[in-house]
Amino acid sequence: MVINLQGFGHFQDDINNQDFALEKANMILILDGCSVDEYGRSLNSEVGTKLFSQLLLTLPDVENVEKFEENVKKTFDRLIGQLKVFYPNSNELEDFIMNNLLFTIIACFNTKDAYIVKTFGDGYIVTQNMLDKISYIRLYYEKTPPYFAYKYSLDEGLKKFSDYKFKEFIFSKEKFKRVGIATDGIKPIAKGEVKGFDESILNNFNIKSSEMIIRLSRQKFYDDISFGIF
Amino acid sequence: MGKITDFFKKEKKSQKLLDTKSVSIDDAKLNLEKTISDINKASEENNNSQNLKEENKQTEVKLKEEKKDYFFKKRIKKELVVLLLEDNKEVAKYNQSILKIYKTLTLNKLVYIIKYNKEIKYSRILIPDLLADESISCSSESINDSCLYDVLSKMKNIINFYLNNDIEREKEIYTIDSIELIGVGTCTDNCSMSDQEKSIQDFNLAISNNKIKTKYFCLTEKNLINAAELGFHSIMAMERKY
Repeated sequence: MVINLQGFGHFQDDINNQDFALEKANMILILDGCSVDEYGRSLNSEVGTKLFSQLLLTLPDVENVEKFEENVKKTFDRLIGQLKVFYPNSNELEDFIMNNLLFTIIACFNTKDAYIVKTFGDGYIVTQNMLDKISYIRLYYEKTPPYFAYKYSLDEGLKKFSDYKFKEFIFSKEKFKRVGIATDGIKPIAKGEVKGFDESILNNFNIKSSEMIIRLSRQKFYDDISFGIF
Repeated sequence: MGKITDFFKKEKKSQKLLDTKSVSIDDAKLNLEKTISDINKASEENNNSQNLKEENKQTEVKLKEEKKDYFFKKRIKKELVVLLLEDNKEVAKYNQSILKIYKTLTLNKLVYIIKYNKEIKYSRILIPDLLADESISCSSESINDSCLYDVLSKMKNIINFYLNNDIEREKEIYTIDSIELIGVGTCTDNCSMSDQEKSIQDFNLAISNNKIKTKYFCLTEKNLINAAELGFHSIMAMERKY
């Protein structure tokens, strides 16, 4: 069950919804597009999120948790390989990558014994423990989160990201009833400023009513909101 | 010439006049004495009334002072921050970050600090502005013991007590209208006497009240899952390197 809504701040500032969320039987994938670069220029990362996720889904073993990192790399390699045909100049290619392919990746897999969350960049993990308490775990790395696309950059300052790997969090099904993931747009919910969302998760998470809860407090949400839970 | 009786009549009249004059002088004397005595009385009374006024003023001041002490304590609604601080060597490495978190999250609130390692230490209710930084810092000498479950099992009583009782100070009475429970540490346990399951159950029951918010600041991302298992609502790591 996933929801994906444009943030009120993005609506006001005329910025597209740059998140993308999709759900398969045993995988939820959420991508959070970068809105502005370090110089404050707005980026078109909604292009990258939608393009990347559709290409990823074409792979046959996309729901295989062990092959996830490999699948992400394969998709990026193929995509950037094709782009080289259109941008033979490396500087132009770099510009295209920086303008379109900067997004954080969070995926949640439903396996037999556990929920496994893999992340590259910031976001939230949402859990329901055995006593029905909802927790929002914030993954935060200051204002410049790492993006997978930095691995393809020729910029010296971004070379350090070439060694970065996906982080993995394993939530045993003996200790957690449900686990979900979200972009950092749900911050107002995590801070307890929006009433009713936790109750919605506890009551089988009806998508329509959950979206309504967010829409009723939409002025509190600057950033786009993507949320998915098993 | 007139009659001799006329002479006597004149004589009597003059005598009468003289008599009346003497009487009127006596009266005037009496009146004067009276007025003097009246004036004296009035001035005495005036003095007395001034004394009374001064006395009254003094008593009023006394009463006001007494009122300050006993009748007009301000009743102030406040949020209480209960800080659960793991007090050991490992956490002490993050003292600066803890102080930063503390200063940001306790502004205009009351604070109750519970430090724990092998044993639990409770503070008084404190006003953060008056609090020395040392009281927040963790000891780098204590070994890495943590009786987290013992602390969690006591939270129910602590929360109920402060939500249901006012805190009386010299000049104010504080009523706690909400509680923010902030945990800082590794969120692990290695020396509790309490039963793990029971203490988690008690803790989850205690934080079910709408007036309570919970947060946990883990030292590293390794501990995030522990805090979620316990049921803290908002969880993050202090170390922010990827």
